[in-house]
Amino acid sequence: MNNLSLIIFTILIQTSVGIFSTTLFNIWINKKEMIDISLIILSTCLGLIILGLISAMVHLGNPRNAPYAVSNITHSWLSREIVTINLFAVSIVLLWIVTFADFQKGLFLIETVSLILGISTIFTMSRVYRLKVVPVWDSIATPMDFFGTALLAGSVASAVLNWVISDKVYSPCLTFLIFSGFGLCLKIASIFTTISIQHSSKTLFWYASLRNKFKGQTLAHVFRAGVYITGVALFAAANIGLTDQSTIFLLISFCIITLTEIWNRFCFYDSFCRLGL
Amino acid sequence: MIKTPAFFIDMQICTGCKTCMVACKDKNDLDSGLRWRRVYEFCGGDWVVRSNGTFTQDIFAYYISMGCNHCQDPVCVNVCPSCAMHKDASGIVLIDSKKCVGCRYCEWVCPYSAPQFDYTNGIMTKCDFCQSQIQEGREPCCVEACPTHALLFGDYDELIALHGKKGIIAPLPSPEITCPNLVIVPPKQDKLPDYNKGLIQNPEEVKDE
Repeated sequence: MNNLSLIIFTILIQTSVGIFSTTLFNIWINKKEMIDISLIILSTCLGLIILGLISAMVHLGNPRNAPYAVSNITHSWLSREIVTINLFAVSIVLLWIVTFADFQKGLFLIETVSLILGISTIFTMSRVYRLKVVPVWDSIATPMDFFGTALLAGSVASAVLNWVISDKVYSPCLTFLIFSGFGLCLKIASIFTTISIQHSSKTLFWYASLRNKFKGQTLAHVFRAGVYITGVALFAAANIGLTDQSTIFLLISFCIITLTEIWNRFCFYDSFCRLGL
Repeated sequence: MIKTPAFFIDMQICTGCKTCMVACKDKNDLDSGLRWRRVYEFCGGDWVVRSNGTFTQDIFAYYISMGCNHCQDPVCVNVCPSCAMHKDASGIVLIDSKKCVGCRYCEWVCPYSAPQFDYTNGIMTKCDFCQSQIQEGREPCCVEACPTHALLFGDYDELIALHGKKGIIAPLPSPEITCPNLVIVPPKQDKLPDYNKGLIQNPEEVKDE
């Protein structure tokens, strides 16, 4: 299966939700002004969503029929995913307009609705892969992986955006570090849950050939967990303020986590094995 | 008119000649890579040490001719985002090519590999039970072509009444997943679904990947 477009789509959308959510929580926790969500951050979120949707369109064999893709909202999680992503995009546009117009009234409501839509987007995305006939995907590992991406990639990308906005001087942020820690925990839990499912008798039901495939993947899973920990350790070094090289550590951790996310998603699609023929 | 159209496969007399597969490709003029019906060669076994220290073997091999089973609870229909995959009034699962977006989600979920992606038109395709032939009172082309009558077509309830509901065999999925309109007579050396030492011997013949 050629899943490159889906890899790009899922990572971009999840990162977009992550950037928005972690920035919003940072504002709420630190009691900054509501208007503090920068237009640059909102534009980045919107840009990532648009790029993600373009990538999703590339995956379709017949994009001309794309408007029909929301027809089965009552049964299909794929339809629901498309609806929630688009609603999230609309809410970000609304927030952008309100921020641009410096209009405080109703801002908190739009922010809250956007946050709920963002979380719903990740949830519906994970439900798309919860298929009874694909045991490796049909587990708690899938939502943990997707929410983990949002928190981890989102918080690191938010930190980078904050650095870009603040004239090349990065001020450490504990909120982003805490969210990246949550994200890392979800990622590690997801990786080890996947390993245990891949080696369970339920998955190795029929095909002896899967044993060798999954044995090869186990080492990659463990190594990937190690790389994630390294990335977050560097991000921690950038945010605790122990070093005056915060910016360098931040950029290195951003590169490590972004590349590991892509690798992680490749592994996710590679773990596809369906029961039956 | 048949109430619930279903396929019947007698694996004890199927010789694996693949005439059904060829007939389907020919009748529907399918592109290279599209196989609405496929014949899987499932084999396995090993040496076994007997109690007296001598060796014997437990090798087995059988053929499974598989197309779309037009399931009673078709998972492809449930997940299709555009409602292109649908069940018509006669219970046949069909694809509306005017609605299909070519997302290939149905390909992921069908445990029988029935929906197949047509790269030329960018849409999914699948067995339609040779609807036009059925309407003329004929049988699907794969059934008509089968030289040993291992592959038959009829009403699901009548086939069950005639042959009974047999246990499912490896490597078929549990029928509880989709409730397929498929009745089988298992081969003599059948293996239970939890048998994990068998392998499909002709992957290049039945899959694109």
